[in-house]
Amino acid sequence: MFNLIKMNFYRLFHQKSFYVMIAVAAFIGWFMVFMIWMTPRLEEKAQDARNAREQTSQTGEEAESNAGFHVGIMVGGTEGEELPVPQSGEFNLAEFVDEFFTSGFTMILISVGAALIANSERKRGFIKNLGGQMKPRGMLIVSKLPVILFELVALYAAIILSFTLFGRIYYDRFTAGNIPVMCKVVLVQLLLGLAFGALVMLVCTAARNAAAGIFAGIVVASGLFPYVYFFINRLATAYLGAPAGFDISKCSLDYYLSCITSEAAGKDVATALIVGVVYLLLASAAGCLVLEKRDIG
Amino acid sequence: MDYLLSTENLTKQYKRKKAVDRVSIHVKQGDIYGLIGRNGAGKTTLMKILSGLAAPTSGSFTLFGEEGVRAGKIMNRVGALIEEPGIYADMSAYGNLHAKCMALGVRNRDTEKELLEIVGLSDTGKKPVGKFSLGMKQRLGIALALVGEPDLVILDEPINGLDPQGIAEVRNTIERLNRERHITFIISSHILGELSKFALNYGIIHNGQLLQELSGEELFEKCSRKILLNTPDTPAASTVLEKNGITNYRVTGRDTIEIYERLKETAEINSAFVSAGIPINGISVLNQELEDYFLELTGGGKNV
Repeated sequence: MFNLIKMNFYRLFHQKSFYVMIAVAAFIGWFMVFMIWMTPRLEEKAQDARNAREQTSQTGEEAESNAGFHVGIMVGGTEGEELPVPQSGEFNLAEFVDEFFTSGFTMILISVGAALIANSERKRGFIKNLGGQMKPRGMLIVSKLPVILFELVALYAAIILSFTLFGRIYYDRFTAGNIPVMCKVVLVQLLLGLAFGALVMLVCTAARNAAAGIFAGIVVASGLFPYVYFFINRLATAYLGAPAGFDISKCSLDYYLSCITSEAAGKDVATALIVGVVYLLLASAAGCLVLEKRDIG
Repeated sequence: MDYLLSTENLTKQYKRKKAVDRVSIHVKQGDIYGLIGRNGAGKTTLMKILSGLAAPTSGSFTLFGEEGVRAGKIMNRVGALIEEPGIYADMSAYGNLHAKCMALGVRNRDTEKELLEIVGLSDTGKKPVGKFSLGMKQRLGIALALVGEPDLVILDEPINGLDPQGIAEVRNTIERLNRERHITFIISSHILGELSKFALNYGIIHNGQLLQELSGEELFEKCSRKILLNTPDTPAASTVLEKNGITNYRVTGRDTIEIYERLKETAEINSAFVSAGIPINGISVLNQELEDYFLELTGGGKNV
């Protein structure tokens, strides 16, 4: 097992996609910081433009009223809309990390990363060199979990470093926020991410290609599943006698992946840990079983 | 006799089709066993089962004296190249070998270099395997099968797509490894003429079933069709043949006789003629091409 893990790490470090993923993660970090920094500035510009137009229209109105015409100008904009961003010129790292975890990016990154790792041997058939000699064959699945975890750590580190770097560049004041809480969130998210990676790996193993895993991850990230959960909740309440507060999404990984932030309640964090461990074990066991029972090649 | 590998009614069924149907082969230690069959005959499926990549639907096999689950545990002594080589295209030949060495826990740091030398790829440097020719990939596949010093190496069509020089190199490599390291090989090929140059024993498989299992000598014997006798005195020669109990012969020309029995007894026949004082200009065994024999056996000429 240790030898396989070593081989998987060797393979990971020789895989261009790993470095591309890190670059993408860093880019996402910059993109989020830049967009959030830029938005209030654009809002200011928009306000200036509105003011200028209002002044012009007032002058025009006066002239037109003199001429007996009345023209109205409707100004569109976001007046009264609340910006989902800090506008004070202060950057809070923990808030940005929360923002990242609640976005769907995490699930997309995990699904792409895990699918590429899961499929690295199958692609071009390297698995044929190992499948016969590795008994039990399920080791091939389990040995990938540390590699997926390492990749997640690398990706999250790239994003947090990117936040830190560009937060310092763009903002006047930089604060890290509550670091112990942020670390706790990152650790729980790592566990959840690993479990999600194991699920993606299961899909890849069952479907025998990486695309299926990536597609599954994107579908989950797209926010389609809450509708499914809603439907199941109604079905369970109507036909199976489930209590009124029954919510199947509380047992789902994607729910916790997008809701565990520094503001999450302790009870939710504890449940997320249990859900993460259960999914990790079930998905890994199922992946092992599929690989064990299936012929290779 | 104790065999390194023997199968007992090995069967693999995909839905209604039996890809391998009650196959029982026997491979001796140090053997080069040639598995002959047309495309789709079941060679690859059989090899996948033997290399642990596929599970049989029924039947069993004994490997190094171990059967069933225990045989599965010693699969690390079996190297295999099944169909096209499984390689990381973006890595070098050394990188691919190093990855497999790591996975199998091979500690010797020179293993990769040694294997690259054995298959003649030591000068490929950092060139990505994706840019290799088919022959080079095939040789790398053989090197990958040799990682971990296996006692049994299973090679599925290892000379497929190689040019004559590449075929000769692979053949020499296999013969050398068999001779020097006593590695047992099971090799499938549909280039029967090539296989017959180095295989010691053969299994002929058709429609998933093993038609025949025979040694190189037996195969040669089966391919032997007739003794061609050249003599200026065919009537006297015919008398000598009949005196010696040979009746299955035919005078085909003014000075030619074809004999269709006792094909291994050319020396005895020759001395009978010498004793009778009949001049003999030539006596030789005419062989059927291995492929012709195979076609005759499998009843057709397609896809061979």
